[in-house]
Amino acid sequence: MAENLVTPEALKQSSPRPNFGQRLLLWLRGNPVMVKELRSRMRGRRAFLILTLYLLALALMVGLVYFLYLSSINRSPAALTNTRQLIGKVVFAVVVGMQLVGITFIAPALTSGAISGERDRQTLDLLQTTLLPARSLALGKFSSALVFMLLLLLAALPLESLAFLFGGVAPEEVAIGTLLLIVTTINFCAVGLFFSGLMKSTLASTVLGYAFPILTIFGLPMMALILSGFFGPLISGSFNNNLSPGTEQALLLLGWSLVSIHPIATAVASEALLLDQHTLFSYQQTLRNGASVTLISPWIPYTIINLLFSAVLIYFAIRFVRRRAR
Amino acid sequence: MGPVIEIQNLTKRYGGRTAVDGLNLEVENGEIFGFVGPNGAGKTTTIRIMATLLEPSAGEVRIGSHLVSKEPAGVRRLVGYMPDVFGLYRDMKVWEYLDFFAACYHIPESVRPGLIGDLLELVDLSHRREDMLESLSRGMQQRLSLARTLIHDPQVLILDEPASGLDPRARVEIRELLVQLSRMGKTIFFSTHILADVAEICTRVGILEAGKLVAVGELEALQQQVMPRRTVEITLLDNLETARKLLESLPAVSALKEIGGQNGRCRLELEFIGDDQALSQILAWLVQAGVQVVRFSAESRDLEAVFMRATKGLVT
Repeated sequence: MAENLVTPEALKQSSPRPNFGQRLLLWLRGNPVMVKELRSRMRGRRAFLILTLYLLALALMVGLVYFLYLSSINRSPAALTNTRQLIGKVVFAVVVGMQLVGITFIAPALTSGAISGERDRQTLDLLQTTLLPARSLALGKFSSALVFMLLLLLAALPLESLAFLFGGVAPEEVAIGTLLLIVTTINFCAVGLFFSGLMKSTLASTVLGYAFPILTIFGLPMMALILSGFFGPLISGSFNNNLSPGTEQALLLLGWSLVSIHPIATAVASEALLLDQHTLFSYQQTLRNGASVTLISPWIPYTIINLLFSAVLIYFAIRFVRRRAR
Repeated sequence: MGPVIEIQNLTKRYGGRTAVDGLNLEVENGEIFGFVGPNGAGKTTTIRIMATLLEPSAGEVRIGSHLVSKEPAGVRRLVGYMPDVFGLYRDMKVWEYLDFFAACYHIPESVRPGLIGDLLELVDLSHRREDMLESLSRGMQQRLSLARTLIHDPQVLILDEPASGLDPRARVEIRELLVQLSRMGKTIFFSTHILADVAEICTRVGILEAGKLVAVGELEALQQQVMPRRTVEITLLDNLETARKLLESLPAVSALKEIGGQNGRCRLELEFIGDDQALSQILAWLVQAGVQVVRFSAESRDLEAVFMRATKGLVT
């Protein structure tokens, strides 16, 4: 079996310009931390159990929602197509929502002990005295967690595709949903990695690694709700009065930016744009004075903001690994 | 060829506490250097600086031609470092552990299986190749750790307490391995508080206390330096006066006194300054002068005594 595997040397010799897939394989196999982490992670029953439980939870939720809808539908032939499409949409939304919850809880578990765990086991010293660059250590930890998370997302694709059986879900929606899940996974993995490098103990890094995604997913909407309770009447009051066009534009952009930092709000707003305005990318919002503002579909800023944020976090995680004790 | 390890005026301070205080030390190529000292003397701090893990407050360490503070990558290529704890990865097999570290040293994948086989044979763990790390005994883990330090064929091995926590057999095995590695041309710098290890295998010893090097040199010279004066007891059958005159005429002998005897034997006790060669010469002269010597014993100067004499029990 070993001779069937592609070795970095063999790749270098066989083709002067390896294609993307080969380069990816070369990179994956060339990072010892990545190989070690994946080997350890997939050994034994743990990975299998996580995957099974994850899919079972998803399937149960989908089943539950499906039967709840089935019992309450209007069975007249005219209404049936619409209802079927609605079920399709709901199944899709449930799967994506559950995956988001899964990411929130599993991604920190995989990364928040990545570097602090090496410190606890006193193996970080060993690694730091080898020729392994700090970059390879941090990226190896990050990408092995990411690959496992992508496996979970990939494994849920068949459940997600159930939505296609009912209709009502467009390929664009699936593409955006998947993209948002992947970007969120990257972000939460990077957050966990950052805290595991920053904090001395795994306990502290785990607490922070969980606090960030949980506050993002559940805390931000609650905060928005409370704030809208306070400021909502004020703003709508202002709308009724004569709001200056500048303020109206600023409020609109502020609201749009807030939407673009939360995955669920981003998904809902992007979906609304897709359904109401039939656009994936941008649309013109007309202000009360007749002027128009171009708004970009939130999935685009969400993706850019989160990828940039993740890159910064990973950069600092590498710095933490490289740092020599003083 | 100059020293392979050169420590110059090395100082490490933690806040107000000085862990290593102006340490100067040189280790030649091929030596087995024992770095001895009580707990808290600064051995591990010195070793961590040498292994590029810790930044010194002042001073410098040069390994080969590389400065530890400026060229850590060059130093890492030359040094195999073993900390005082075995970094254990769960969920890892013995060969995977070595393969992982080989990859960390950029050793090509095609070379690794042969290299791992050789190293496991060297440390006598070939039969545990497929076992999980957790299942190994402490001694086996320590031997595997030693194999890990050798994976990139380093010139210098820096080992922090390689024999601590091991049972006597495992300790002897590690000791034998170190001698074998020295024969293979490696320079070995190891810290210990187990003096028997030092006495058995070291070519030179440095004694560290409260961050300062209180004595350094070959064991024999060190004994000489730290305990120049030793007590010799001689039991004679007759010719007490001849013996007394002869001994009194020697400048190396002082405080000669008779301490009584039994069954017609006389016992003399004297203080002697000099090496073993000079001591045996005294016995030869006594015999030549016709003195019948039945017992001639010098107080043993083992390393423990040297250590106790050299150190004062100070800890920073």
